[in-house]
Amino acid sequence: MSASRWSIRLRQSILWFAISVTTLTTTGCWDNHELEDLAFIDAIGVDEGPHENFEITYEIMNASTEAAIQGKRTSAGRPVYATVIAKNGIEGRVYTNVSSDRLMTNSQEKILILGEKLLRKPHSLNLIEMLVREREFRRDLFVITSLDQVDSVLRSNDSKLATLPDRYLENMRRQHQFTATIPNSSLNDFLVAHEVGDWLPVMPLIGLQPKQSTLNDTVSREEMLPGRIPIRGGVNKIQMLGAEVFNYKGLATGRLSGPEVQIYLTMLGHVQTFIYSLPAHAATDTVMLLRQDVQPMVHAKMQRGHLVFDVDIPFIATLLATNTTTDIVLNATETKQLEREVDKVLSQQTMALFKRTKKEFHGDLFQLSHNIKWRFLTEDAWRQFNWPKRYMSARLHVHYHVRITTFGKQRTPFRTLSGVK
Amino acid sequence: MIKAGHISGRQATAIMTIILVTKLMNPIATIIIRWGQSAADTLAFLSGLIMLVLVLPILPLVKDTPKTLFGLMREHFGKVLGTVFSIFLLITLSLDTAVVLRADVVQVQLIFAPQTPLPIIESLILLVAVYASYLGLEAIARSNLIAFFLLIVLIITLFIITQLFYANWMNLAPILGPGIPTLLTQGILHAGFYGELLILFNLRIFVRDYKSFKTSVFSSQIISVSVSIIAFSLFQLVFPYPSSGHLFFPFIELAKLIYFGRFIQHIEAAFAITWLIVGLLRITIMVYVLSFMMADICNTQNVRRFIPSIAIFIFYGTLIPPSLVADVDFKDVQLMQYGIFVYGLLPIAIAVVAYLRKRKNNKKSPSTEPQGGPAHVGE
Repeated sequence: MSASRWSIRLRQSILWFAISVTTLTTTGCWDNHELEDLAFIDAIGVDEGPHENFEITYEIMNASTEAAIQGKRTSAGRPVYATVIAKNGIEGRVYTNVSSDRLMTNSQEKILILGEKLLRKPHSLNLIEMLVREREFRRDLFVITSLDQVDSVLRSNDSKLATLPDRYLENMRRQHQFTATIPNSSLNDFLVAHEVGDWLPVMPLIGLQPKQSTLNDTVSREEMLPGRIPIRGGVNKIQMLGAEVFNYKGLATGRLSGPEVQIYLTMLGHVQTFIYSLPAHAATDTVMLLRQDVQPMVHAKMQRGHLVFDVDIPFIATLLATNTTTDIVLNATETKQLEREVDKVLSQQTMALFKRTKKEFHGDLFQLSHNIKWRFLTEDAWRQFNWPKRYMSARLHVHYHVRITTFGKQRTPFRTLSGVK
Repeated sequence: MIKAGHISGRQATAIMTIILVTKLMNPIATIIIRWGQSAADTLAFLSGLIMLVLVLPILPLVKDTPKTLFGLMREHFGKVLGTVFSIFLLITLSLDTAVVLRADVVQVQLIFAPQTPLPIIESLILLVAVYASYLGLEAIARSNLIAFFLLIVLIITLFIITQLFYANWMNLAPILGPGIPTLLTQGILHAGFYGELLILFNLRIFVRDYKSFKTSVFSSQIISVSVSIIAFSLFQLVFPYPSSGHLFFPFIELAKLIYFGRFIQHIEAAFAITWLIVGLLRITIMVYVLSFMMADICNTQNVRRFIPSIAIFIFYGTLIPPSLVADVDFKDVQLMQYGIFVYGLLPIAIAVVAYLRKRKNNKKSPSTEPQGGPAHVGE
């Protein structure tokens, strides 16, 4: 073989060697553990522990039996739960690993549930501080606040319709676009809100179904919180509804009921559709499907030394149900009247929540700061403006513009006595 | 002996864009975020513009006779001073390459190989870069052109996905971040973020004609700055300042936020692999260019013989910073804020000397105008 051929062969060999070595090493094919050697943590629940420690519960995917149970529910497919007392999530994982023949990893973790009691104490922030640095810990985690003991919530999570417990929580997360009763907030949303410090972070709420209550104990619409709504039977022992509000320091400070979350998400423009029913004190019992196609239009101005926000929120509505015998379909005046009624009630509910943000939460829940921050050109000017303080004296004028475009299948009320015109 | 050959203007553009843009995807980008705050995109624009203005005076000097930057310095500053400046640039660029490689390697370790020691990853990447550099500039330029489109697709995809699901345009305020005076000052001090543009002048002799070269200078800078503006805006839209300032790996954090449910998981892997390819190409170009610069200083035509030693020099450079913070700070303070006063003013000094010499020669006799420069590598 000639020298040039040798040279070409040698060059090719070096090339293949270099490609193989780089591909195998830098892309992680070498520096990882085999799948069957790993235990994947699905969800983590953290609650208060003794001496400012944390009670950490790990929900570990039972990968060996998961494939077999698709389609039929057996106890073998249930995740494995482990609860330990530790100073932080990573130490807890190390402790748990002493009883696990597989190496525990957070790379597939999707859910983080934190106890409300814990979140009211300053050392809860240490937990988050300790976790965000870890390479496997993702910022897109779905973070939830639990009203009941987190360990019990995690272990009770057994949806009869979802194949795996964490799938239930993910499905609930996706559902927010159609119910608007929980915020879809990730760990990143919490961190950004806390770090920027202009608006209050929120997290969805979760709780266990009430054990003692009967169906007669059903709460009013305004008080809808998880763990308070009696359901006989049902899909799961846990309930997900409403939100926990945090103050500027990142500590849990109050709760939002399901309907309040609808108002909150509407103000942010994060709603797609949701079913809205007029409260009991309204003139009619009416249920509508509201669709938010356009973002709220916010105009900020100074009036007598106070910031005033004028917010216009358009909604497209589909009339789902109403008990009125008035012909609201054919009679445009009646339609307008119903629309104005909904506008008024929604405005009242928004104003009530706005007042709560000042009295109870002491901060900007609706992210109104975005609309005024544009007028400040520099970070320093914005800090000097002292938004958290200004917000406390700010005023809000909110105007809903509900337009009913679809009236359902019924042309006139079936109880109309005068006959069809 | 490598036949250096020629590269097209488009390939030169691709090379420069990859050199400049890859830094946005590793922790080096945090320098601009730190100083630009919520106006990191504006700072990137100002830095890019200032660097372009700084190098423009030497553009006409390479019009008629293709010269390397070092050739220009030797011609106008004299052999001794020209060589001294050339060695300074060589050392600065080598350290810069080492610093950027270290940042890349830390990111590789974070994503792909958490248990592998950094020196092993560094040496493997350099091994590949050395081999690819042996193939010569034409091979590198061709692969760069392919990677260039890959890079653009990557940025556009990331932009669209984050726009659809995660971005909030309201986060752009306050649009002037630390204020105009600070932005202007930091724009000058951090013009070195695009300092590698000077490298393109060392590649002048490989580009066939002046028009292509001139186009590649402008187009590479315009593309790089535009991509930078998009990237920094994206960071700001998703992680509004000061949240962005808390992160070490904004690009990876951005990619990791993308979640399409359980069916398609860990989308960031696709972005990370693409970044890795582009990052490997960057280090390859840098090894080749540094070897070429070394050959130019030594006035020899054999570039290959310098490749292993340059790679080892870069390897040692990557070991110096004790941590990623020290690495990024060294790039920020020593290489950018201090270095810009030397390599940023060099093109202006060359242009001034060239102008004075031309005027002096014109006064003496128009016919005695100097023709060309010393022998150039690759010609």
